[in-house]
Amino acid sequence: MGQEIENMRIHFYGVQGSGSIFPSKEERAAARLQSDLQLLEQVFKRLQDEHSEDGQLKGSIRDVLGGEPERNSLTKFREQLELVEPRVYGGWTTCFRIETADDYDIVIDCGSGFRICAEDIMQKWGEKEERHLYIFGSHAHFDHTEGFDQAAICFDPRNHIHILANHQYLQALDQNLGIFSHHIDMEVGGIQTPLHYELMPANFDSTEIRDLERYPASAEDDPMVGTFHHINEPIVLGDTTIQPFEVFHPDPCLGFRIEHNGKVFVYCTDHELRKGDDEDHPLQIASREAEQRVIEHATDADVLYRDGQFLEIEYHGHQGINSPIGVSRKDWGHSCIEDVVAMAERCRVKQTYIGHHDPNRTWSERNWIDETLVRRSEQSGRLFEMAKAETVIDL
Amino acid sequence: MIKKKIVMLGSWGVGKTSLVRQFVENVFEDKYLSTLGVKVDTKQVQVDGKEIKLMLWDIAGAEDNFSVPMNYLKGAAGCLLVVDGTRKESLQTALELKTLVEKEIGALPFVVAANKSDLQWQLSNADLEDAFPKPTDRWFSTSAKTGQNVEALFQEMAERVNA
Repeated sequence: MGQEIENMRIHFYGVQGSGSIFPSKEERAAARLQSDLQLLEQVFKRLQDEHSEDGQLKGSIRDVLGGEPERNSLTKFREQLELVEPRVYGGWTTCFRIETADDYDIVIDCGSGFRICAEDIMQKWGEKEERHLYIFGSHAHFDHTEGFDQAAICFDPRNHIHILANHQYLQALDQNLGIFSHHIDMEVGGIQTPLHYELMPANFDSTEIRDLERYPASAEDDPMVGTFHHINEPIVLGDTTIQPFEVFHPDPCLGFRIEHNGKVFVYCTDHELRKGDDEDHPLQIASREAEQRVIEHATDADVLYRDGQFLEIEYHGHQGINSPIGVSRKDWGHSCIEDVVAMAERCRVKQTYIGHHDPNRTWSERNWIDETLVRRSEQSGRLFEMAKAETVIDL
Repeated sequence: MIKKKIVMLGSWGVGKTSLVRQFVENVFEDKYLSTLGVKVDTKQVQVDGKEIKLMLWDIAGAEDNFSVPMNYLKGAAGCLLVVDGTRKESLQTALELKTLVEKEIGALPFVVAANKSDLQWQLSNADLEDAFPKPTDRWFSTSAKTGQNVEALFQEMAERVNA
C-alpha cells in the first residue's frame, strides 16, 4: 500500500478453512467468462460512443485504439476502461497480519497463508536491526499451523519470533519442530516435516495464554513454555492492546480483540454457535457462553472476522456443500453464515468479513452468497462480505 | 405422510420469502431482508383427501451474475417460479432459471407466481401469457401482502406434484 499507517492495517492472507484449495478448471473458466464479458461490454460501449448517427464508426479502429493493435496500445486502451477486479477468495488457510502505526508486526495464525505473509514482513524489514514478530495462535489445528515451517522468516537468525497462544498451539509447533524445548520425541521426528529447530535459526520464544485462576502455572509445567499470561489480562504491545478470549471449538481455541487508539478489530475463527435440541447439554451451554464472550468483545467493533463455514441448511445436514447429500455439521466447530450476520447486526459491527470458507464451496456459490451479502449490507447500512484473501483494511 | 420438496426460484426481491410466510404463518412484513442461502418451511395441504407435507425451499434469489447453485434442486418434486410484476426483468430471470432447471435436472412441474399484485405493474397479462404459452402452464397473480391467490398458488403446486 505504501501509505502511512494511521492506527492499524489489517491484511488477510488466508481465509480458507480446513484445507488449501486451487480453483478448478470450471471455476477458472467461469472467472474468465466474467472478466471477458465485462471487457467486451466496456469495449462495445466505447465503440458505441465513437459511432456517428448513421451507425458507422467516425474514425478507424486505429483512431479508437490510439495506434496499431499491438501490446502497448492495447495495454493503454485497457487502462482507460473501468474494469472491476474479479472477486478472489484465495486458496490459503488462515493467516492475518496487523501492522500498527508504532511499527509492531502482529500475525494471527500460521495457516498456509503465512508463507506469503512472512515474505512481505521480511521485505518490509529489509536490513533493519529490530526484527520482532508477534504471532498469536488461535488453536492447534493444522489449517492454523501448517504454514509455520514454510516461512522464510523462521530461517533468518536475526529474527525474533514471539509466539503467544494456548498450550495446544505451542505444543503443535513444538512437538514436530522442537523450537521451544529443543527436543523432539524419536517417534514423531521427521514424520510430519523434515525440519526441526536446528535447521530453523530464528530465535523463538513462547508465552502460554492460560486461565491462570483455574489452572495455575507450576514449576513442573512443560519446558516448552517460556512465560505464562492470564487469559483475562490484555497483552500490550506499544499502543496496541490484545485481549484473548475463549471460543467454542473441539480443540481449545482463542479469539482476539485488538484495539489501537480506539479502533477495534475482532478476530474469531473456528467458533461454533451450536444448534442442539437440548439447551441443557453441556456442549450447548459451553457454546452459548462462548457466544456471549464473542458478543461482548465484538459489540461496536470496527471490523469483525468470523468463521461462517456453513449455511444453516448445511449445518443441519439437509443439504451438502456442492453436493446434494447432506451430513450434519453439528460439533464440527464452525458457525453458520446466517448466525454471523444476525449477531453482527445486533452488535452494531461496522464491517463483518465472513471466512473460514469450506473448501468444497465453489467459486460461483461463494459469489452468489457474497452478492446476497452485498444486498444485505445495503439494507442494514453495515458491511457484510465473504472474506477475500489479499484484502487490506486501514483503520 | 407424503413429503414433497418444492423449490422457490426467482430473482432477488421478488417476494419468495413473503409468499412462504403468508402461506405458512399468515404474516406479511413490509421490511425487506434478503434471504441468505436457503430457508426451509413446511406446511401440510390436502389433495384428493390425502395429506401432503410441502417442504418449501425458499432459495436466495438469482443475482445478476451468479445464479442459484443447482445442487439445491436435487430431489425437488416441483418448482415455484416467482416473478415481480413491478419489475419486468424478473420475468426474464424466471425464464432463464426454468431453462437452467430443465437442463440440469430435467423438467419439473412448475407454477408461476406473478407477485405484488397490490402494486402498479410493469408486466401485463399478455407478457405472462407469451412467456408461459402452453395450456398446462399456470400462473397466478398473487400478493404476499394481501394474501390474494397465495393459498390457491400453493394448492395448485401441491396438486401438480401429486399428479
